[in-house]
Amino acid sequence: MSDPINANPTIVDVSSLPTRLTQQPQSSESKYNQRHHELVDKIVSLSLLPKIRVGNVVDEQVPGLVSDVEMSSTDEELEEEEEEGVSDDIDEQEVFDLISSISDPEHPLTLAQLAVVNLVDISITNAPTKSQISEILIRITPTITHCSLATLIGLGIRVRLERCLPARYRIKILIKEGTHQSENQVNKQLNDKERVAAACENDQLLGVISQMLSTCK
Amino acid sequence: MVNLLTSIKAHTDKAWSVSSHATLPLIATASSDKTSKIYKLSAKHKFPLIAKLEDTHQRSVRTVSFKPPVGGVDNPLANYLDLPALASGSFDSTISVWGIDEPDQDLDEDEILAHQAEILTSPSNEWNLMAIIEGHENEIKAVDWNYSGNLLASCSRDKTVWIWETDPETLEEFECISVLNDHQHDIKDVTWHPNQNLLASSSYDDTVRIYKQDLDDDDWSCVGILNGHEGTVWCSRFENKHNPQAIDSKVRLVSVSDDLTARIWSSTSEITERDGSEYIPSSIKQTNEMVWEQEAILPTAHKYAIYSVAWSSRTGKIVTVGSDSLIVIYKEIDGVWKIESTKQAAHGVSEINSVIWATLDDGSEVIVTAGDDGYINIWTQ
Repeated sequence: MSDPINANPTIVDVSSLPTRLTQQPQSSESKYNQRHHELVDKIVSLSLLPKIRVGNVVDEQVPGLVSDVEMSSTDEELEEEEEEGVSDDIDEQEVFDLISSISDPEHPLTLAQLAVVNLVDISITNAPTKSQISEILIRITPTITHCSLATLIGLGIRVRLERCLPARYRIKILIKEGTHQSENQVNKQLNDKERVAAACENDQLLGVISQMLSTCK
Repeated sequence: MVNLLTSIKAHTDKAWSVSSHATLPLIATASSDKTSKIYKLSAKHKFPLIAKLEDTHQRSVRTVSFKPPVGGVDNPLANYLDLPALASGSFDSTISVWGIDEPDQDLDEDEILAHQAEILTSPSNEWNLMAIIEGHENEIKAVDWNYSGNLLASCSRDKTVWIWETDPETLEEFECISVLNDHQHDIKDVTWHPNQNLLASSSYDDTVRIYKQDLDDDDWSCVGILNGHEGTVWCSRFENKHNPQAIDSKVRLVSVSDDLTARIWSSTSEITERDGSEYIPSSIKQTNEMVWEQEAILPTAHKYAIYSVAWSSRTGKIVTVGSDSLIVIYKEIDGVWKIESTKQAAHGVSEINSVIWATLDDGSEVIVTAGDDGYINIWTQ
């Protein structure tokens, strides 16, 4: 990979993204934002960005998809919530917060900053009880219509959600209509449980995905 | 009514596949935890674990298939002690073949024959790795033995179906006799006809393909394409000729898909079995092509992908399972398929990957399912 596929993507300011995650105190937040703006400006001004070498992550010691600590804490939180009955159903904002901070495989930016994932493109159909199957539908918008990394991005989102959400959720990930030239092909692959399961046993792919998920909050 | 007889926590990860032995009360499982397990189908003995097959596959075990008795269920070898064996296929792109040694019993031959089932299903038999078969480029999705146990078919994401020939008594060598490249994508399932050498494969390319050995040489060819599904075909099964509804002149197959349908296909093309007596010289070579028709779409019941289907050879009933954790049993009444019963949440909120009809040691028929929750559930009707 010599050139990024989309060298000059549109970037959304982090502070304008919707979130329910705890915000930092006001004073440090503005400082943080300022620093972040400078950083984004710097990144945008560079024509070529440092990136993950998709084809070269061979035989490295691959860390888990999400670090063990993070994973177990997420699971515990969910269990606690369910036991206490504080949060019965998962809503769109919660799903957005889980996936918005996933890194793009070629830019040092998150999927939310690149507007690949958007809150309005997440819809959830919660079943009346937890012993029934609920459904999450996410439409992703690739940055350019021939983005060959669309499948990888979708896979990252699926892995993140399958690790964090209870088993009762059936996750469907689709490319937003008209935003990709091989929409149907990508959609079919992303929603084939067997292909996803096999991909998650591929060390090379797993390495890339764990890098994408390393920025998750 | 579908009632849960027992629930076995067989695996620590997804249970992908379950297979039953044709004559012995045994089932085998395949799992993402890289192991296979063998259980005895005995309610009296609380479904004991017979063997755990491990430390062989590097990735998920996706598929498992018991070898039928040498010569087939209908024509088993007389006075021959047929030792159980099975093949398992993995995402690591290899197939492993497992079997037991002849049990070391201090009994005379008559007694061994009388207690054959008891002896061959004992947990004291050690299950050994007999062969590892390599050839596929990537993940193996299914393996299946033909009715007489001398051919093993396998399929993979590499878009090919391979047919392996072996001596069913020794299982020492597996020679690839054909590689079929007809599908355009990932192949999800491969299944033999229970009574003849007719093979079907189901694919991500939304079709099912049928294969037969050529009339004039040893090669195998695609002799039929089943077009109609509007999504990945996950599984297909032929009707056994012993089904009460089966008609001699007709071959039928059921297929299930991501498109939420289960379809029945049929062919009345003459079946030219190529054994010595019916051998047709190439000078009067006739076409091997089979014409297939879609006979029916079963009444809709599933809300998510249907992953597996089984056709009972005893009752002619069809059972389907899928991502919605639902079991559906269909019955054909006067040529019309009807839903006989359903079971919701058969594996809780987990997906069900595999279903079979099997026979317990007391002779009763059960349904066995394998789910993402790692459980093997056994159901009575």
